[in-house]
Formats: sequence, C-alpha cells, structure tokens
Amino acid sequence: MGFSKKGALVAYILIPMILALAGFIILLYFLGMLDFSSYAGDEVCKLSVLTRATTPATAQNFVPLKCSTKKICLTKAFFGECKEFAGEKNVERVSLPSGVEEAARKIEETNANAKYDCWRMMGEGKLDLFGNFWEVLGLDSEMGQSTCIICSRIAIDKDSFSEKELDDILGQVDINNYMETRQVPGSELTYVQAFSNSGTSNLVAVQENADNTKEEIKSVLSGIFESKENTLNADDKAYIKNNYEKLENGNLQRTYVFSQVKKQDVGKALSNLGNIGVSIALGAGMTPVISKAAFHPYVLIPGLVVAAGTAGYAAYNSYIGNEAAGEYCGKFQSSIVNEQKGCSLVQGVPYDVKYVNSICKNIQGNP
Amino acid sequence: MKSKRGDLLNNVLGLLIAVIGIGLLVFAVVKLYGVTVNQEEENAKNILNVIEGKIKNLNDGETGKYPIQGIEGWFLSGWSGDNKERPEKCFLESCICVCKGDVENYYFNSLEISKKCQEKGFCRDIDKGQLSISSIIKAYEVGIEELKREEKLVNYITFPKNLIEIEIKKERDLLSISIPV
Repeated sequence: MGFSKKGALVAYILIPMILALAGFIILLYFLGMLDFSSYAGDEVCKLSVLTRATTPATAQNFVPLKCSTKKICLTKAFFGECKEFAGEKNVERVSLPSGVEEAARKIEETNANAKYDCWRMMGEGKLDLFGNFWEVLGLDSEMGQSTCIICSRIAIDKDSFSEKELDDILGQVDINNYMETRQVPGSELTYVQAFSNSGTSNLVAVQENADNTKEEIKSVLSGIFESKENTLNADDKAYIKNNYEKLENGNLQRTYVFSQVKKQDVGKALSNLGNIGVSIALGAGMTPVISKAAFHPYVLIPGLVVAAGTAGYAAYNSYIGNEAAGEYCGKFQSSIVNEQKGCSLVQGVPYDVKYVNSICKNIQGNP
Repeated sequence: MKSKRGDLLNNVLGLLIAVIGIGLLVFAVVKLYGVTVNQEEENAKNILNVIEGKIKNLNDGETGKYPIQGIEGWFLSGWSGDNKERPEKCFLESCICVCKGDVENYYFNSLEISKKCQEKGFCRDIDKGQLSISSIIKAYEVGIEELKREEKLVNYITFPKNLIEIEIKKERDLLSISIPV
C-alpha cells in the first residue's frame, strides 16, 4: 500500500514535471532555430513585418525588420553587370529583350512590380511598423518624421547598350501608363486598380512643384539660354558639370521606398513625406491622374551642355517629378489600443542621397 | 496529513512551473535582444563589404561617389599600414573599419577611435600603403571643461540614420575616403 502511495506520488509530481521540462526543451529548440536563413527573402520580410505590427509598441523596436533591399540589374548582355551594384551581393539580373519597345515594356514591368511588391510587403501601408516606447508616451522628438524601408533598387547596365539605343528605350519608358493599362501578374486588376482595391489606399498623382528642383536647375541653365555662349561663372559650371556627370556616369538607378509618418493630423503627414520638390494629392478614393513627364530641363538645351543622346536618360530620371505613388492615410492597424494616425507612401525616386534623405529621416531594414 | 502533503506538492509544482516560465521569458527577451544586435552587426559588415567592393571596382586614378545606407551609432575609419595607432586586428596592413561608437558629438583622436574599433568593429585589409579617411564634424573636445562646439577634421565618418554619400578616390599608393562637399 505504501509502495502504491509512493508510486502515485512520484507519478503525480514527476509526470507533469517531465512534461513541462520536455515542453520547455522543445520550445528552446524551436527558439534556437530562429535563424531565418532557410526562408526566402520576401517571406522573411513579410513575417517580420507582421511580427512587428502585432508586437506591443513598447517592444516594436526590438523586433528587427528582416527586409533586405532587392537589387535588380536590367541588362541586355548575357553576363551583363550594373556598375551601381559593384561589390554588392545578391543582385538579380533581368534580361531586357532586344527590341526598343519590348525593352521599354520590360523596364516598366520591373519598376511597376517593384513598387507593387513593396506596397504589398509592407501591409499596404496600413500597419504600424515604426512605433516605439517614447512615441507612445509622446516623448519622441522624432515623432512626425518619416521612417523608411528601401524595398528595391533598380539599375540599368548602360554598357550593354549603344548610347542611342538606350536613349531610345528610355524615351519610351512610361511607368504610369503601364500601371494604368497593365494587369498585376496573377490578377485581373490593373496596378492602379490593385492599389485602390481595398478602398482605403490609392495610387495617386505626384506633381512637381515649380519652385523646387526643376526651377533650381532651370535657373542655372537659363544663363546658357540667354547668352547662347559658354560664359558661365565657376559655380554654375560646376553645378552643370555635376549634373551632367550624373547623367553621363549613369545615375540610371531608381529606388522604391516605403515611408511612414505618424501624425494626428493626416493632412500634415504628407507634407513630410513628399518633401522632395513634389506635391502629393491627398485623399483615398480620388481618381488617379497620372501622366508621363512633359518637361525636363536637360532636354531644353540639347547639344549645348548635354551631349546629344541623353534626352532619354533625362526623361527616365525626370520621373522623380511624377511617377505615381501608392498612398494610405488614416488609422494604422496595430496592437496599440489607441491607434495612431498617419500616412504611408511607396514612391519611386532616383537612388540619390538628396532625394532619398528628403523622404527618409530614418531608414530601417538591411541594405 | 495527506492534504498538507498534497498542498506542499502543489506548491512545489507551481513554483517549478513559475521558474520555468520565467526562465522561458528571460530566454525569449535575451534571444530577441540578440537578434536585434546581430542585425545591427550584420548591417555593419554589409556596409563594410559594399565599401570594400566599391574600392576594388575602382582603378587607380579613378574617383567614385556612392550612396551608402548608414546605421546610427556606427562610423567608418581607417589606418595606413605604417600608422602605429591602428587597431591590432588590422595586423600589418592598411585597413578600413566600420565600428560601433557614438562619435558624432565629441571629437576623438585617432588612438581613441582605434580603441573603439578594436573593441567593437569590423575591419578589412586594403591593398594600399597609404589610407586617408576624413570628414569635418562639429564637435565638443572631450575633457575640456568649457565645452564649445567647433568644426574639426577627423579621421572618421559617422553614419547617419539615412543615406550618406561617400567619395572614394583611388591613386597608385593612396586611397582616400571622404564626404563630397
């Protein structure tokens, strides 16, 4: 009888203990396996975005966003490489077809997909991804500043083209038109429809402000216009030379940036996001008005400062001014009871410090 | 008597479960912190690899400007092979290092920077006899009682939270990295 009692006692204590310990060890084992390397990049990113969005704001900063910038090189050559990615790993090569129109469509497709994928990956802008403890308390001096993820960088291997060929191709690239007329892969919706499908987000027009970048360059170049001679002062020459070099040296790299800013007044939030010499139409549900660039200062003076054959480069780069942006403004979905308001934006801009830093005060994710 | 023993067992079991639970929680927090820190270090190594790649891609006599994604609280520095102040981890070669340390507001000399890189930094050998890394910062002098912020030329480049453009100039026996004006 005593033996039986002892046996019952042992079973009563030991079995739950062994079960608890076994559970603990199994859990440790799985936690120890928190090495995301076996997952594909996009899946890891999505998982980390969701983990962040569902983590209490006080701990959000401890959950890293495992999103790496995609590097895409558009090339015509079989083993073509983009100089822009020299020394960088995991560069995806996309072959461009030989025809001018076909190549232009492929460039549009790659850019449109990059923008859309970025938007989807980041929860269509509705998730609160950049909360922190101080912000919850209202003590964060950076509240109201935009935080970004650089989703992708797309460069063109210009060495795989003749100058004229590339100029012709880039002259035909119209990403906005592509997004209006073409369907998202695996969907019956066009990109524009897909962006606005939820009824809360939208693909909105981005318009250049007359008093910013364009005017800045225009004013310098107007000196040449007036004089019709090369009688510029040293500063102007340096400025033009620098911009010319950027064209010449192949600043043919665009980046798709997801940015988010929190403000109680969502109307003010966008003024931070679009601070790159452009204005962004606010308001979900508005009809997107998107069109191709009609103006670029470089094309005003072909052959004078800029060598012939760079008009296409210029047009491609001029999309800074009017490539439509994916936008969401309103309440963010998060674990916080008191949901925060703000705006999210996915935007394509040249991969240049001036442009990217104008949008992003803080960049997260892996370079 | 039996009831008392049962209570005791229940308490012991409850205590054990609580200890295990707390242990699990602590482990999860440590793990989470570790992931964050590793992430930062991974990014630092990544930046160093990118810079090293850009350097290798340049020919002697060429200059290139590159946007680099920064990490807050880290900086770029480097030493020539004949500089005795260089971190030990550079051995006998010229090297560039990406190191952790808040060096933005206070002026640190080459030796102090070297110590920081030795403690927490990642370095790569550079195949050039002379190396120059420079930037101008507006900083306080450490150890001076009357603090005054002054512009200083330093042998490091602090990374911001967003992008930074660096200029790499490669000559026959000299490599210079700076911030373009």
